[in-house]
Amino acid sequence: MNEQEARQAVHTAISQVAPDVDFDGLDEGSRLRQDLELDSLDFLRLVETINEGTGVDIPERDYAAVATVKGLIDYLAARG
Amino acid sequence: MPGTGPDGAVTEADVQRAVSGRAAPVPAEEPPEEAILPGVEVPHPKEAPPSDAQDRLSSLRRAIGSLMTRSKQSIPHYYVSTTLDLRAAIGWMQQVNEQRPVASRLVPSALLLKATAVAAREVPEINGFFTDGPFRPSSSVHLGVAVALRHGGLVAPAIHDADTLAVDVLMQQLRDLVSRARAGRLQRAEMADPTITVTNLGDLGVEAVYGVIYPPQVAMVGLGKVVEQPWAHDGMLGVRPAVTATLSADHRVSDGLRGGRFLARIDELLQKPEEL
Repeated sequence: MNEQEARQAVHTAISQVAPDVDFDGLDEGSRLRQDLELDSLDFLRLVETINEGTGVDIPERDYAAVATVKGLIDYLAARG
Repeated sequence: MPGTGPDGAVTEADVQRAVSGRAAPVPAEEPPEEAILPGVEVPHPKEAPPSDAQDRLSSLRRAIGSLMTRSKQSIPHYYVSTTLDLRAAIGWMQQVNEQRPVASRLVPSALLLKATAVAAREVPEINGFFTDGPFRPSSSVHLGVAVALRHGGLVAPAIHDADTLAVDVLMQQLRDLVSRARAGRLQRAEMADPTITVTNLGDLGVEAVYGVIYPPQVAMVGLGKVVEQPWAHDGMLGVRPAVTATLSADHRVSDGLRGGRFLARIDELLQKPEEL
């Protein structure tokens, strides 16, 4: 998966979990928990949605690497 | 969802009806007092929302204000707090999650809620209702769980008989409850009867939460954020995941000794997560 596809997959998944997030002008350094206000259940659903959409399974030990929007895109681009 | 506002939100009028005991006009349901969670702020929208959303938020703010005033004027609150050692619980959870597909993974909240529900069963003075007469302890634990709605406002529906559910079942019910709460598809029974409420605001970053009791309940448990803390044990210093649990309870029903016992039980239960 290239970066653009990864970005698209991330946007799609975030939109499902947090429909109010506006991607126009979104800083990709935004933290999913603190800045986008995803709680632990939202985050779990995000990981699940990404897994369903891309086949990439993010194990719990990698959660720290995908704490930001950019981190998540990079993670998918590297593994998808 | 019993609120009469947009998307089933609880409006000030709903609360006024609840206080005065009048029936709601449309829909013909009882006022959903339970939909408002005390002690928790409505999140601020990041941008200026449309005016109806603003109206709704300010009306929710006023509604929460009247309920909390009633709580603080009628309930003599006391507060106790303790640090829960989560080393065993988080370690066990990570091990379990390692073997599981994401759909059946656990989050720390599931373990915390289960331990809280079991402790509430064991300390009946914090689980039940205080209305006009004597305190009525509840033989069941219907655990109210605060759910923040993304556009502002809160609901606190109950997980019924939470003390009897296996952690996996509780986890699935929690996920289901939160997703339905946010979609505005809660059932009335879920809104009506929590016997004690937990607010897990720590999930979004604060270290400790001092909740305001939701009447006629007699206790509110606040869970902070799971953080790594330096931890002295047997003369050695180590690092453990920990969370601050705070109990706000009603002094007409219990005192700090019982309240402290309740929090201590939560900690004890979390030391054997496999038995939860």
